[in-house]
Amino acid sequence: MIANIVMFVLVAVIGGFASSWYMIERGSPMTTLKRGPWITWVSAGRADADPYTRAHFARRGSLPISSVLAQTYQATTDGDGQTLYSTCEYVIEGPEPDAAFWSLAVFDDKGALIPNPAERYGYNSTTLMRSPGGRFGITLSRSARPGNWIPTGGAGRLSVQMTIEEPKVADRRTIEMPVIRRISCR
Amino acid sequence: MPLKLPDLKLARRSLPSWSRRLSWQTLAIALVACGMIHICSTLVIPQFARANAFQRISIGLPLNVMRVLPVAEPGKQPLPFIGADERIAVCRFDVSQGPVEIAATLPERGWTLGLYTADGDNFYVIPAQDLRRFELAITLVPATERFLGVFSLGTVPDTTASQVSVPQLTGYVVLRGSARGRAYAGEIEGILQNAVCQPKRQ
Repeated sequence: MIANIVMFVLVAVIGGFASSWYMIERGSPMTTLKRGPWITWVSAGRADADPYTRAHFARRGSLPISSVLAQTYQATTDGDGQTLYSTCEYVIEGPEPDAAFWSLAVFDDKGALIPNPAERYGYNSTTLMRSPGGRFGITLSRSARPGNWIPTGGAGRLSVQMTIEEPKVADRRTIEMPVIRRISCR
Repeated sequence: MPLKLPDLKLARRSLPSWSRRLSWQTLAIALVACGMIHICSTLVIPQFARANAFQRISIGLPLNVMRVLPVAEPGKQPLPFIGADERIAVCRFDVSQGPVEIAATLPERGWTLGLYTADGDNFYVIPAQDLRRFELAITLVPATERFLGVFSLGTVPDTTASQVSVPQLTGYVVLRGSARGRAYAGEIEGILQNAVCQPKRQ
């Protein structure tokens, strides 16, 4: 009798809430699109969004633009799958997205801006310095770096958000996202 | 290869003693209950999420008035995951008393005007255009009134602004701007301040 009650609680209550939490927090191939370390919720902001996407953004408290117009990608790991930490230095590099507008910003894992004396929190397609070949590189580091640099202070875990408005590709799976490469850690 | 009946009995005997007391009926009911809890919790979260974006920005926000949110800075972000180079003006609209007119300028790429339901559905969004300032003027009407034309009875037909029928009587207009640095801060603030959200004069 007790074994059956324990099993019921484990399977029904814990299983029900845990699977719901996982689908809302992390998503699944049905609701998200993964491109290397970057994850986007394919129905973000849309009126026909699935319940997991709705719950994800309600819980997160952010205000997504409809994914019909803009895709917002989030990365919490580097290209090797290691969690992004402010104690490490990273470079985000790649070709510039072929889109009407894009922006990239770094937050802590709760979505808060990271205080820094330079008051620099991100770049967008109008403020970024580019190399002659059309590629770009942004360094995430505690210490000042030449070129495009976003200070990461003592934030702990990092979350990088890249929003691409009106990408000029028919299939969003073909958007070439920048790579996130770890340089070193303290 | 399927197990024969004696093999199944043998396999059951090899399980730990506690697991032999579990009933398959209980497991089946637990799986059904698991599915129900999963569905219910997923559907209920948007209704009870305390961090809902619109609940945060609605505090002190009057109806049908555009308000410019302060510049995001550490510790003073209006919403999570809002960058410091993103400027936002919000209007909480209510079309239950009549249409609401919206006017805004979208000066360059990176600017958008979005209409949201109170549930967070971005049912309408319009981006800035290339190489020209885009003066936008729209009138929000309830979804049913658009077809009945109740508000336009006895008035000159309005051909100056495009009408957008809103799926719910209340919702939000969100004007997003993209900051290009401190040199442009005043200009961007001015564009946001000049955005209009007000009941339409009959």
